[in-house]
Amino acid sequence: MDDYIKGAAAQLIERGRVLTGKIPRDLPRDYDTLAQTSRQKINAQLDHLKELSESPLFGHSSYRAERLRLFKRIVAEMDILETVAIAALDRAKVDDHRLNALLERIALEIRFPLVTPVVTTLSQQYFHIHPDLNLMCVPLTEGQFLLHLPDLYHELAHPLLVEQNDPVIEPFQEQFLNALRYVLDYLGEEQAKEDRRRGPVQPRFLLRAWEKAWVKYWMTEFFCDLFATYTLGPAFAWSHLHLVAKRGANPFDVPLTNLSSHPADDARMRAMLGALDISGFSAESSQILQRWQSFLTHSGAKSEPEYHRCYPESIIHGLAERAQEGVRATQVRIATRETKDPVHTLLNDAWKTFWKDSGSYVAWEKKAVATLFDSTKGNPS
Amino acid sequence: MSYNGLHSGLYARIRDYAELLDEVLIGLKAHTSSPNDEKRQKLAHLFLGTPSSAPSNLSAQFFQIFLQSEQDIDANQLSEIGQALRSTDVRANVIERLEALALTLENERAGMLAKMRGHG
Repeated sequence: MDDYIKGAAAQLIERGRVLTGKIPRDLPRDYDTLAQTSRQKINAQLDHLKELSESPLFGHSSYRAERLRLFKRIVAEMDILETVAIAALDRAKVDDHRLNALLERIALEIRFPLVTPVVTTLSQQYFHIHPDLNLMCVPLTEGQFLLHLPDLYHELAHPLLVEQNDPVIEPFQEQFLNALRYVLDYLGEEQAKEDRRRGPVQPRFLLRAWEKAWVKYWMTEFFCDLFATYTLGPAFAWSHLHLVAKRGANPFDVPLTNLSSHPADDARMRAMLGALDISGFSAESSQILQRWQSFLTHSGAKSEPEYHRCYPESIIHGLAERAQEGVRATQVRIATRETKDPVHTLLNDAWKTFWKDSGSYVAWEKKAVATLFDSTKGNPS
Repeated sequence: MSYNGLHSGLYARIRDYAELLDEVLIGLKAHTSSPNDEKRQKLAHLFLGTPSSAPSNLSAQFFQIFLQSEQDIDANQLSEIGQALRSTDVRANVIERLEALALTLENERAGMLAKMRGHG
């Protein structure tokens, strides 16, 4: 393996140099942070590779396992840099520039407390973000439509849960932990009930699986949903309905065997509606609930008792309260009925227009998108 | 939010834990590390959790909760490892536990990356 790692490291070092050479030099300033981060990360990996190849320590048999693990992680980092970061820079075009200007405007409207992520339209998997690179990925044509753009707000919340040593966003992270402990306490109590009953093992197995899912994935998703609901308002809940109606599976899904990465869509909607009630959008919350229930009826989906045990109303309400406290404490702008920020207003108006006359919506949206991107051209960046 | 995106935040967290653990392990095995080393202190802090007097540290708290829920390691065991890292005498059994944990975290990281690439 020694020869292999030395040879592979040398090849990877050359690959890193080629990647750095691929970073375009003529992009708008919006991309500077991504270009700089990519450059620094590539250089850091190359330094690690040199150490792995040259340090006499790694020639000793005691460190074989560590060396191989370190090598694999470097390869993984280089792969991510090549396929995500450098690809985004290399293929950046007008659609990306427009979305970057839009995201900057949203960040200003909501007083987003971190550096605004760079946006690329290279996503093959709906909206997502790489907090490590501060890079948001959206589908190719999404910038030409409005109804899914509320998901930009959800993605903006992810870096808030990752950033370290920042007292401005720590209150949000504290509430995240507070909410996680709240859920784990509840699941612990349920586990204790099962232990006392000395019944079948299946419920205990389920509770353990849910605990893992809450810790690894679900709480993050709920908090990002709630951040989006508090900062954008009803449009985010509408966009959730839109996404689930188009692409969702069972809205009452509860993992019985494999770990599920996403919480049940109905539970997510209940949390969003709770957040809308808390922030003064009760009328809109009722309208959305009505449409949601209509969708559930059409889908034929029915909730099982496990679903209600996994996502009881007290827990969902508790999450909405804690997230609101976290968002409020970071000084991020919470949407209210009085909020008149242009992007906020447009994304909410888009849903009002859609429901008012869905037949003429497409024509309205085309004009609205053109106006939106005209108005973001002069955005400071 | 896609599977890919959901995993990228968690992935980075697990990768950072794995990286830190291996770096500290190398120092311990080479006898070049002391309790005052920055990385060793950082790792000890992850195992010990955040004292109530300190500001919230999501990374440390998440590390604790993650290991307790994923690896069935209880808070006392985590604390024992943390205390050992703060002492001058880190015994072989602690190093063995750290090695086992490093392998587990690496497998978790690699599995998560495979899922992000659609191979999971």
